[in-house]
Amino acid sequence: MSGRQVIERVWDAPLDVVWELWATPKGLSSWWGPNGFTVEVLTMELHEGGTFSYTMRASSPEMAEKMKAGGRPSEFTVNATYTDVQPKTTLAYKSPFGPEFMFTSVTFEEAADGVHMTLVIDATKPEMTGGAAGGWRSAVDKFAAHLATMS
Amino acid sequence: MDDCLQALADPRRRQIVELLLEQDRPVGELVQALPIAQSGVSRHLRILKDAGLVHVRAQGQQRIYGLRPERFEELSTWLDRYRALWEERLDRFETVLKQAQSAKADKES
Repeated sequence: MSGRQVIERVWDAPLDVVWELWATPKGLSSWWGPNGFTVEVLTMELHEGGTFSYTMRASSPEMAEKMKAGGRPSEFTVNATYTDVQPKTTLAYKSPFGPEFMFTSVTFEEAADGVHMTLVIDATKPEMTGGAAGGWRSAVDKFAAHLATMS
Repeated sequence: MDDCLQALADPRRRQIVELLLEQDRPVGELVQALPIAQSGVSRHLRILKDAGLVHVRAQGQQRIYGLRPERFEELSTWLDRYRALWEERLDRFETVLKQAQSAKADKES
């Protein structure tokens, strides 16, 4: 995986509908969790520095059992913080990821063929680790680069 | 996985990893290359070893440290999986979006 992941999709739908699914608790919880899980949005403070938190829990005893067998909790809460919110344009947040943060941002742009969505996932940002070359992520990247030179 | 990330979150330990990427090295060489005392280097090496990121072997009187590639590959694979999880999530988004639109169309017709 490179330093940054970008996923682009085009939604054949009005921007209002797309935004509502991303930026309302009811909308987001309808698709956020994987099959077999329900998502309860606890807080969604749509402004920079606002809290975005949700609880994901196994929706059946079977799934809870499966998680337990895999040594994972059947319910967990994610506490993220919005880093940028521009209505119907940008939604960005950082969430705890190991000892550091995962940065996720999604932007929307209306075009003739629909809403163009760009999702960017950054495992670490250099400026957040005191300029220390991008945290643990840089070590993994360097390792991958080293492997590439050997093969 | 968390102990791996924790171990690599420290800039000094990442420096050690970089030195070991070049080649396996005895502790003495690492101490020479780093501006910290031997005790500090040993502590960092112990943390890296506990996280499964480095291994150690004895060569005569020396202890030689090297990286364990499998742990790094695990980390890399895990990051790839994160992208796959988002792709799946966006597929669900698409399904829900279509449902929302047809519900809206039904209401309007």
